[in-house]
Amino acid sequence: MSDTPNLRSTKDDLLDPSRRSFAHTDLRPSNIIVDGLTVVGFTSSDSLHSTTWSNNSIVDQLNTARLSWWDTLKPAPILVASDSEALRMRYVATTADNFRGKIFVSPDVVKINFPDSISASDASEVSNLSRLVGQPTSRDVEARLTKSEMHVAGGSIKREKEGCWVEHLSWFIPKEIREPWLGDLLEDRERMSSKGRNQAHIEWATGIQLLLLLANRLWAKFGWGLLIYNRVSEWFSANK
Amino acid sequence: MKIPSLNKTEMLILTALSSKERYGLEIIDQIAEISDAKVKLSIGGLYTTLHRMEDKGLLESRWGETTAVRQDQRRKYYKASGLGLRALRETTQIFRAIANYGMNPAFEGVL
Repeated sequence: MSDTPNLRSTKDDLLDPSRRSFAHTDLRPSNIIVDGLTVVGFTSSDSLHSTTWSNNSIVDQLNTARLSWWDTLKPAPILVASDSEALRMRYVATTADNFRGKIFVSPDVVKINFPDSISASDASEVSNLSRLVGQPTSRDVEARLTKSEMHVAGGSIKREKEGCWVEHLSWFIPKEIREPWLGDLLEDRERMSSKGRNQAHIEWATGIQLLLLLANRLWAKFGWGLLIYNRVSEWFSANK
Repeated sequence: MKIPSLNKTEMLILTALSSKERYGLEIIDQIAEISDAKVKLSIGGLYTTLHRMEDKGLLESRWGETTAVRQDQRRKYYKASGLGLRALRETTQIFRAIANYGMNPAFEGVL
């Protein structure tokens, strides 16, 4: 392990700038949930400029930061490999070649859920699909950015954003089925992604599912009325 | 109690849930397997039907776990209720009787 500060009081650190463990950067650490993993801060060997960080997601933060090397760190799938002593994290970078820095991972018990899309052949360092990692200790993760070092289809960050548009379009879904339906839809997208379907196919399939559900709802609501109307008008025209 | 009659989708769902409880995607997979991939339900259609069947007392459900992929949306597990199994049995018997009736030519090559 490195000599990085213990991040157990991360929340306090986040709220109180004077207690930040990241004083040597201007970066305000923030909780970033990435597929069950909590990344709590960043340091960089580069000098960073002051920036406002939102709490939403790493994607937002990266977009907000607009720093030279953050710009190069595009929202990309994250893979975390775990063993008893260390966590390793790799990003798939789109443009960066020479990122140097560290990413701190929550010291609290972190449940890492590897999506089904990660296949062992893609990542030899992945030990288990789901694993509870250790007791509160500080951990740091060396981030290495290389172009297409590994590809994890449908990365978690992207998925988080994708889930949003589906959620926004699901207003017509009755409450009683919204949660399982939406969850299954997201899981299905993940499956398609792991099967190697391209993004366009996934979006298309999701759109179809939404349309089918909408049609289903409309039929449930107005279908019988239409049928009755149809029959009645047929009867009238036959008996004119 | 009157045993409700079942349509094709309801029969398939009850068959998929007769052996163990399953959640949405598992039900879809199981139905595809049962029907030799001839029936592929949409998620939306499935849940509309599941909800209706639950209202009719054919199914029982419980909330399950969530996963990171599901973004906090819990799974909902369904299983066939006693009434559902009885309805499935009765409907299957009717179909069997129809099929057996005079070696019905409509079922030629099917049974």
